[in-house]
Amino acid sequence: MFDLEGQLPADWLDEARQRLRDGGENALRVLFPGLARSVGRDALDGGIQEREGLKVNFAAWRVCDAAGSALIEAAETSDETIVDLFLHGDFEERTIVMRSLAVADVGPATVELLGEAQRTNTQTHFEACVCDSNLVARAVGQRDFKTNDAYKTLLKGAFVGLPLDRFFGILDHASPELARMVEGLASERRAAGRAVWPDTDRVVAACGS
Amino acid sequence: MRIFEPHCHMFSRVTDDYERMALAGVRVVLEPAFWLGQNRTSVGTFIDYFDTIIGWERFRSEQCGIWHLCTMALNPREANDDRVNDAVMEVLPRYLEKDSVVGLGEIGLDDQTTKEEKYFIAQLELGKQHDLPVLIHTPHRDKKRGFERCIAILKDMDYPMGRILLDHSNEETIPLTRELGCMSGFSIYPNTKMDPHRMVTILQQFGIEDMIINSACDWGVSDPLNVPKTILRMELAGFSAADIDKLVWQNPIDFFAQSGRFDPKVLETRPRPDRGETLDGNSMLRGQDPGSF
Repeated sequence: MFDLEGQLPADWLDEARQRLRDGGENALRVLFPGLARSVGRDALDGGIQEREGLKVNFAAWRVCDAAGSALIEAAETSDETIVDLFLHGDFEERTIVMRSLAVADVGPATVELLGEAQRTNTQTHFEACVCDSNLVARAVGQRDFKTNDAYKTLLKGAFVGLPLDRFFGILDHASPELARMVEGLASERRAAGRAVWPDTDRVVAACGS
Repeated sequence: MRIFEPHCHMFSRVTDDYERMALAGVRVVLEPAFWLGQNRTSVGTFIDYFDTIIGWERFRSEQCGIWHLCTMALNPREANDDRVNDAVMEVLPRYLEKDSVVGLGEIGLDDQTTKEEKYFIAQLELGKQHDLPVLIHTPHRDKKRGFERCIAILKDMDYPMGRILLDHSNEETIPLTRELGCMSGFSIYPNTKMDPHRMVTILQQFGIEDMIINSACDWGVSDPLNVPKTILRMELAGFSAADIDKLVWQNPIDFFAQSGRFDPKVLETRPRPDRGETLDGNSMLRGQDPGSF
């Protein structure tokens, strides 16, 4: 869908694809831990791109993220294996799996990992999953991911101080309920004498009354 | 003095041990996957253990200023257990590719059974496929014969001996391994398998080339400071600082650098611990103020 292959080492990609042809998902499980080591963590070239309803800011991506996405796509990876790659992944592997969701259709694995993002205390994994793309917005209404789940995701983003602009398209789903949740956080912060999320007013304005 | 401790089961030790080791000059520990003192009943507990030694244990070590590397394997004792052996072999390939994994081990022989040999050979093949150096556990009972059997298997497979570390050596086994081109390891315990005094005598006789010493500190009577204690005895016996550095730093660095998975220059520095840092949201602070350290 997005053309990222040009930024991957061609020899590495050829060999990895051959291993996937020979070994399928088992080969993918073995290739995944070495991704960052093999292709590096340098930033990708390219900013915001849109294709077929997907919107991604590749400035947030690294070469190893693109490599992971390419392998997941090449292996025609099942949802079970995508979740398995996350659950058995180390810090980098988990980051790569989470980022790959932004360039794929919303499947059962996406919804399950959106749930993992909501539960994790590792902010890098939360951001890799829900920020810098319209994943959360386009997941709404698919499978059992509901509008309220998207609100809770944005609220967690607000709670840890992430800018609204990193959640592409989220305000397309705005409603008075979202305003209530965001205002509730602001009220609690004011009562505690703490800083209020700077994007509170923008969200409330978008939600109407 | 800079120390690479190439065989420590830190999973079984307390945080105070890390701090004492750091003070004594240890900059790197290598944690081989091993038997936990009682048999496991399912592969899930192996997976959790493997995840711990590449996860929490690595984090805990770096919080104490020590780099943490490891080796992964199905240990020989549990290779005999059909509840877990094949299932562990199935998950091993993905763990052998994890970033902090710099070798395969401990594999080898323990009770010297047919099953142990089967999984020893199968794992040596994995070592080739993943291009990793191999840490071999040798039996504590009937040790000399166990060494001979390990060596025979390696020769049968035409295994590159420069990638082999035969551990738990003693006075009787060292003459068997000197000409092989492999690394010889000595696990220095307080009283039993090897001790600092005997170790110095062996080094005086056989030199420091292709030699590695470790404490193998685990859940039993063992001492995580036995490498620094042996260094002290070496100094008293007149070994030069350069020789000691080769034994406790350069030799293990050279051996495990064959994995291509670490930069030796980085290991010369200390990880910079930030006591406020977390792993999956957990810090080591237990509610204390990070500034109190």
